[in-house]
Amino acid sequence: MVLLSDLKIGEVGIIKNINSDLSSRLNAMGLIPGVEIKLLRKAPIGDPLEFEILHYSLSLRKEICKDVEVEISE
Amino acid sequence: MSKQNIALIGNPNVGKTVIFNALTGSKAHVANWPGVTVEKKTGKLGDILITDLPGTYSLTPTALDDLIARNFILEESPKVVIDIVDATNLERNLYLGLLLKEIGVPVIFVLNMMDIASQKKIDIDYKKLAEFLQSPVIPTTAIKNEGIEELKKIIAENIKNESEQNDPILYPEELEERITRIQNLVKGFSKNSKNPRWIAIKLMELDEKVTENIKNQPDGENLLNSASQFVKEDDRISLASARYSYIKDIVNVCVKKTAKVFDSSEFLDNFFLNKYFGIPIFFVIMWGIFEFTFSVATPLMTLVEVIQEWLGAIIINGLGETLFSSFLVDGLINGFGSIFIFLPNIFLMFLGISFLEDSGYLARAAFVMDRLMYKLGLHGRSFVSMLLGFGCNVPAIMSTRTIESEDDRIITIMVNQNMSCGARLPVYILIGGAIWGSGAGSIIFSLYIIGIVLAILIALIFRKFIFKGKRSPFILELGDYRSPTIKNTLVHMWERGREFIKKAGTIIFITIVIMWILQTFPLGADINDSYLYKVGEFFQPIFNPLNFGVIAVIGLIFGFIAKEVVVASFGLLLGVGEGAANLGSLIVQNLGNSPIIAYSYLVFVLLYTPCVAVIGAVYKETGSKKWTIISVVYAFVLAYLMAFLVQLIGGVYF
Repeated sequence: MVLLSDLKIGEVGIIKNINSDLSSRLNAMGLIPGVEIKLLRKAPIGDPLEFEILHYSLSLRKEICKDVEVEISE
Repeated sequence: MSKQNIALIGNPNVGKTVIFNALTGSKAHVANWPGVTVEKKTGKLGDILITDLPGTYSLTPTALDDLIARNFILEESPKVVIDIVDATNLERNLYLGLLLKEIGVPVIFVLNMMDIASQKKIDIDYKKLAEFLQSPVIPTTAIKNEGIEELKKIIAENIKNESEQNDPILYPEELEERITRIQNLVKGFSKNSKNPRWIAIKLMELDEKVTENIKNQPDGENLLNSASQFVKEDDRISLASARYSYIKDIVNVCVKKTAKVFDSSEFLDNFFLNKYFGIPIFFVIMWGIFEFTFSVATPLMTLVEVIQEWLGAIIINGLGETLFSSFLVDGLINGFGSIFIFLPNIFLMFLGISFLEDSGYLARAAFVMDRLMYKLGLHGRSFVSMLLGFGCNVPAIMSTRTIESEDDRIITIMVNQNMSCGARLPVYILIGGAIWGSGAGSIIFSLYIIGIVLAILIALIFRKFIFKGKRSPFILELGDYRSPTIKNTLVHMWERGREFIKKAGTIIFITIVIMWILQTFPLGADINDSYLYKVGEFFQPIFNPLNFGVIAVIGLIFGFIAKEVVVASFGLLLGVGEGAANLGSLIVQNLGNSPIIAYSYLVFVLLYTPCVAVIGAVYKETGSKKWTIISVVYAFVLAYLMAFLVQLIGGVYF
């Protein structure tokens, strides 16, 4: 298990756990245990990160990504 | 409320505004929601009042926009809520729809952007979708006006239905069982509760607002205690998962993707968000918008001036030089002129911003700049408005409404006036040129830098001492790139411009009339005997420590109205024409012939309130007298302190 912020570009993770006080809002954006999330790219200065989830692009600051645990899927 | 009342809701960027305009004929009434700076738009479709709710993804009580939408639905009980859904992404969009169904309000689903869905070879079975959702589903392509008539018809039909049956959408048995138990407790607690099922679900989610609300009622604690035995720790996630798996079932049945289509957004992002080119491209685009706005605006502003002079000449010719004609020309026409002079800037800037927003790039700009701006106490979206401030602070302040979080928006508004706008430049050139001649360029450049550095410092100070709480999160959808339509961009632009005339215009106008009175009376007196001069003399002692004379102080008073009139007013006060070659040196004489004092005067001009229009814009955008006063006061104090510091360092006092 790794943190969402540790995903490498192109890697896909399956969300396991969300421990954030923003979890309701993240849930609404599709971050739910069991859902696949792929790191598409980092912003030119390294933060925020852009993910693909439920067929759309979502960008999150690294800070929030540290509250989300994923399992890297092969 | 006997009037028919419906609401529009939807995720951001689904074309909600376009549908709102199509339904209401673009005659929107814009105000703020009570107590906050979030914009509230209402309009009418026949007798039906339509409220445009903020764009939201969910109805969680921790996000301001969500809470506004949720409270409206709960408290104003609209007859129907129209949920606008992006047809190309039902998976995420329907989540909000399910939350609405949970509240128990009748919902009409609008599947917008059907044209893009069909380009992407997405096939949707509406009939089945409507069965699943137990609500009408209308496909539309709002920007081409397709499906709007059908939508109006369905709204009319649904509004007539008095007792619409609203069957809830059911979750897995294990959850349903506990929902029912809590629901029964809620019913027992309050017999006339409108939506016990929703309250039950919110109790399972440990929703702060609902819990608090119940706690404050007699016996509320008891209800919470007995409900809590049916609540499990991770119910919030279980419910969210249940909603998503229900949506997945719907999408599996109703949506067919018939072919894989080339994803142009992905392709464009590889370019616009490129690790190496992303930032240079951002600057080129910003420069382009800036150039466009101010190069097109300049001739238009000249046109406003020409019309002003032409009208003035007609009046003077017709009425002669009387007090009344002076009032008409110097008071009314100049008053209106100062409002209209900003319109080209505002309109063109909004044209540019709406273009960037509608095309999908504005979200990317925030993505590219966020880290830097976050470090400076701001938000990725603050950058664009700060940059626009170099042209004119008024539209720049108005552009902050693309920033969702109130903290970030207020800080961005408060620091904007430190960005040196175009109108301050003539003052720098006049005084700087008189002292430093060809070396004035670097002096002027240093003023711009001082403005930027102070803007950053002030943002950090505000963040540290006033908005101490948690920073607003960066959760941003990067939607598909789209080509904006001319009509929508123009409607958007017109709405903003009109709002500016209405709201900021009043403040500007009143101030100008007051200035005219001070300048004109007592009648027949020389300018040096006018009340204005008296006012200058009255305030001058405040500026004694800064060594600014009466003339310089009156210049500052005029500059408060608008920096555009400072140079002309110096001409008037010193009895020479505006274009006189020696005007600059006359002013410098008035500043004790000292380069240091002159420079500190320029620093003062840079930092105090740019013009009354800025005050109007700050008031309009913050909706708060407190913030408007703070912005004026801190600007004055800062200007004073910095001007003093310049003279201290420059050795004037030794």
